[in-house]
Amino acid sequence: MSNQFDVTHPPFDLLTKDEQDQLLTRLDIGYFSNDELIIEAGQSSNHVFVVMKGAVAEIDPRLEDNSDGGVIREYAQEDLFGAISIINGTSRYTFRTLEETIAWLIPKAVFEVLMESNPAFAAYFQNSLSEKARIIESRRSQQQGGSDMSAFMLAKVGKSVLREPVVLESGTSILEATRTMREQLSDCLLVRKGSQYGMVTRTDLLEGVVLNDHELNTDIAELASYNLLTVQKEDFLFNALVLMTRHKIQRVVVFDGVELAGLVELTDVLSFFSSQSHVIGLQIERAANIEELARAAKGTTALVSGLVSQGVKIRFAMDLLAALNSRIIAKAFEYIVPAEYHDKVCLLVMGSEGRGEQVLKTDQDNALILADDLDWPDCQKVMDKFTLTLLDFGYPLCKGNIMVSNPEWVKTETGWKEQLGKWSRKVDGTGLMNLAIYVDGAPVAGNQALFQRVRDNLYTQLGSDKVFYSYFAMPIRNFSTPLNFFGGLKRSNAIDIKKGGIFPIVHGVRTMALQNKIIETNTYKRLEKLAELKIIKNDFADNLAEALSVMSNLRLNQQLNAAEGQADDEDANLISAVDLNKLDRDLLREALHLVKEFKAVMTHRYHLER
Amino acid sequence: MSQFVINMIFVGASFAVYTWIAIWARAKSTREFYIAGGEVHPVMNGMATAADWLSAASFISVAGLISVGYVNSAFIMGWTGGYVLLATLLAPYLRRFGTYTVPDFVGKRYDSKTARVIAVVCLIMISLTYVIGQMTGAGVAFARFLEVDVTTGLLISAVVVFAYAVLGGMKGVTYTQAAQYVVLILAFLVPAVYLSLMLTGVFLPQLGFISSHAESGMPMLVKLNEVVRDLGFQDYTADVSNKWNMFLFTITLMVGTAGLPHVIIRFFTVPNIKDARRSAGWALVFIALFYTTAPVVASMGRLNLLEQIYPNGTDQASMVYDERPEWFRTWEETGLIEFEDKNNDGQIQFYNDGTLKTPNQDFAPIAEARGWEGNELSVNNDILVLALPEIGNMPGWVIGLIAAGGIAASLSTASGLLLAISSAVSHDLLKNTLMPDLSDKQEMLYARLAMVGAITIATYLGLNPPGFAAQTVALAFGMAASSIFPALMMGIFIRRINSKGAIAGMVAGAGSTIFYIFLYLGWFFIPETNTFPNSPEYYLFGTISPLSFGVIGAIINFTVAILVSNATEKPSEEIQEMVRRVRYP
Repeated sequence: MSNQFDVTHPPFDLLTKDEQDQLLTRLDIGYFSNDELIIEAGQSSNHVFVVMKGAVAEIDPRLEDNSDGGVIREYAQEDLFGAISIINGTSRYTFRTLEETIAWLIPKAVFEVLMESNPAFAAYFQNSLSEKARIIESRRSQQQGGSDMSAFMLAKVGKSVLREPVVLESGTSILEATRTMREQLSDCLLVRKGSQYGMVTRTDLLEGVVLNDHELNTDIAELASYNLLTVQKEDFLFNALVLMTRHKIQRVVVFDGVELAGLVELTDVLSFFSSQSHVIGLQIERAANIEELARAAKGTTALVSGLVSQGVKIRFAMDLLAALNSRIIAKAFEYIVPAEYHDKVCLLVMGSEGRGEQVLKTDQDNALILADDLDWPDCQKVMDKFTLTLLDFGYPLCKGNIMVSNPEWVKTETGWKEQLGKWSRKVDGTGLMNLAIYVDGAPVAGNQALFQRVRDNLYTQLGSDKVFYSYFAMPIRNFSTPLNFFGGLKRSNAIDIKKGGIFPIVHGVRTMALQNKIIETNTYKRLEKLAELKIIKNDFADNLAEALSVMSNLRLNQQLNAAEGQADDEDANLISAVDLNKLDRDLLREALHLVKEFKAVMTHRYHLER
Repeated sequence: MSQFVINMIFVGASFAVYTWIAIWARAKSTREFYIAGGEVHPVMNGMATAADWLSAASFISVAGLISVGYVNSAFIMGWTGGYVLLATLLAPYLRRFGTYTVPDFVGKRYDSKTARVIAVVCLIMISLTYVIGQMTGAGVAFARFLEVDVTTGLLISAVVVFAYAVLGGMKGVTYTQAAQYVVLILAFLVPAVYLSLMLTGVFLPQLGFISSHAESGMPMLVKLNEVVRDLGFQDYTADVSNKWNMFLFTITLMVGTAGLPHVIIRFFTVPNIKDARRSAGWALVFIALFYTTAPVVASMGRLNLLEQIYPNGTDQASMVYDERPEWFRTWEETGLIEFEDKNNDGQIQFYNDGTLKTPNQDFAPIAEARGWEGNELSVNNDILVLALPEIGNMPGWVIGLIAAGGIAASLSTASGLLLAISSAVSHDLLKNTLMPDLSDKQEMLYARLAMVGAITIATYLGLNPPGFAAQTVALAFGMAASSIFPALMMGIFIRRINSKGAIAGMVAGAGSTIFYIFLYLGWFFIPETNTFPNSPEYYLFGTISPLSFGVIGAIINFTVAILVSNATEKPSEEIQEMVRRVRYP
């Protein structure tokens, strides 16, 4: 136990040095005997208390006759209480010691002055989990000195490499357009047609004239493509990169609300990137053979752990890794599978990779859809080779053998439709698990139409069979939430954060997404879509997303700490509550409360209690 | 060790076992994310379904009812038949609709909010009246085993049922329910074996039933007939006077059982059809094992009771009140046995003095000659099973076992019913119809409130029954038979039925049934308000008793629904296609 008040712990680390000094000079210490009343319900408090040693219970006086004596929460070392009663004027609950307790006392007046002078400090006490986490997150990245990488990661599109676009009205001729581009030294231009924008590149102009026999006075609006990929000016630059990597395009159009704001070019982003230490995206795109690709693939783990240790938000790191991985896998696939089959097959990545939520290399979970009329005797041999290549790239084999080397996961379009139907009708453990893995699948190579037809067919087959969704959702109740009776974190050194927290959210969200035919596979995006469709409330969706981030972060830190990700997968899910610092413990506890609430909601919605 | 302690140990231990199994089943699955709902052995599933099926009424009351006369075996035929009807006719199709509950089904199949609301109302009325029966059953069990009066017992059972339903946890775990079945069947079989050995020397009760009475050498049933006849009761195996009514009553029970919402839920939510069929077969075996034991317990229990009261034969002096055995005293405390010494001779005369049904008129002069001034003992039917081990002087652990069995039976059925009510109110009535903007949290709150409300009403009605419990139960079966069962049947089998037809049918069926019951049993069961006396000469066609009207209500429902549907537009193509798909996959 330290005798010095620790100002490095949240929320006190939000205070300035002066404010911290001011706090330290006015600090008192109080001693309370066992079962002593500290704050009575309905009364105001004269102090904010930070427990130094001992334990204090927060009691709801209306529930005092319950078997638990109305205890809502327990406070132990480093925990803070009493702030809410000062903010609200009176305390809703009674605070009483459970044992001999010594506490730091922050006088009411001092606390109020600090709240007044420091908005971030005030916000800490007034905000919900998602905002709290955001404050801490940004604080944390500042503390780490705002390294180059995180600065890049957090850079907004509007403030980095935005280019002024060349905009021409529709009706402009090819000749004039070419002239303008030359004058402006630009590779591409935008055509305004009514309220719509289309894009014309140099290649478009060239092909238009040479290959398609357009006259030089042809309206460039006819050459433009209107199916633009866009980002918002407030988006992270990073998202633009992800978008380009995923769609294999060179530039995206930036909007500010509905107004055109500019263009972002891949070369600009990559040059921005190349000043950094990792240039994997570029390596992948430029890889001319399997060996070069393998080299690029092996760098991804280092990239991600680098990003995360520098304080980049885990969601972004996941997005980047997912985009990189799917490019690597797609490229490998294209090298290995003879070109004549590319249009007749579709490769899916599934499970956490399909969701874009793996943080380090996870097992290969993939499947193949073959066109019904495909005759490909060597399929098995080629798929074996593909699996081994990925293994060589550093993607471990799937323990459950859910890989394209297993003929069970290579089926024709019709075969898949039947298989999915069978799983959904039988409703047993294996079938539900396979379905859950499959519905997280995302097509990364080959003919996407195959995938879409199978998916649409699955939606039709499931229809409005609520009972199916009930069974599908059931596994979220398989594991209890690691909170104790009083709503505190279980004092255990092996809290299984995957079973207790991550899985229920991921699976519950997956169930709702499947039922509502949401084609996104990423849990965060599914949550956004669910909120958009008003299936769940906006703030609940935000908080769930934040809870998931908090838990994924904890897990990742653990994985990274344990011998650079060499730890066994299972062990990485076990978090020791005792070893966490106060901040992480608080966040984890709040995250788990959300998980608990989410499980109750799901239980009710899907009739999981029968 | 006192009997009280033994009872507590058994009840406590059985609950500990259920909880332990629930935790064990959960722990077993913690290695895997997806446990195998369908991979439980069909025998286990069958046991679980049987435990769901066997209510407190089955466990506590049926043997008591049958003991009065074999006529009441209609209950057994009706209930077993109802199960067969459900399992063969409805179950294969219900799952294919993909709905959770009866109102959900009605709302989806008929595509009508009005139809859904009517189904909710019917469901609530049926389930509420049925809950009363369960809670009363549990109340009697608690009263005896905690040695308190029946009112306190009922209040205790209300609290326990609430805790059980709210904590949930134990429900829905197949293994726990299988364990409940094991406790239940042991609690029922063990005393039956004892009795059978005691009275006939045959181990298997079902065989003892048709064997000879050990003391007299006469066949057991002949001996029983002789004893009851000697006391002015009708022969135990006497034929039924009104066969038509008995037939209708049996069919009403059968169709009514097949329309009980909390039972149907099981079939809506089986994981898949193939597994469901196999476990339904096993469930029937386990249910039959129970129901074939009931008549044995009934007849032997009655013979045993009479032999205790007339230890030296019916023509000799009966038991002296002051020398009454311990069990007599303890049951007197609950108020379920009452003795009134009408002729002040200090002895207990238990016979039919003409105030009970179907008296044996020849006996009246004999009773008078023996100086008897009327029946002095009233025995509540519900205690036959519960008091059986004590009357038969069986060891203490058998009594504890019965306590555990009775409480398990009522709790599992009651919590199923309460879940059905709370989801009908919160989900079908509020969220889907009246207040579509409810948040999840509010919906859950209303579900809890509905549960509390249902328990409060059931407790109140249990304490202040508006009529006899049996009459309210008749209402439950009548309503289920005349509203829900036809709506389900037509929903599956007749594509042409539209929402108008279904609504008209349900209103006409349920309406006519309630009307007929009130006509004879008093309006809203308020005593003395009945329009006609409740006796055969006033019945429709001189045969149909209010308890048997459910099947007539069902026929009215079918007829009205078909007529109205044919006179109005066809259901949408979509719905017709849905019905077609359900029947021909």
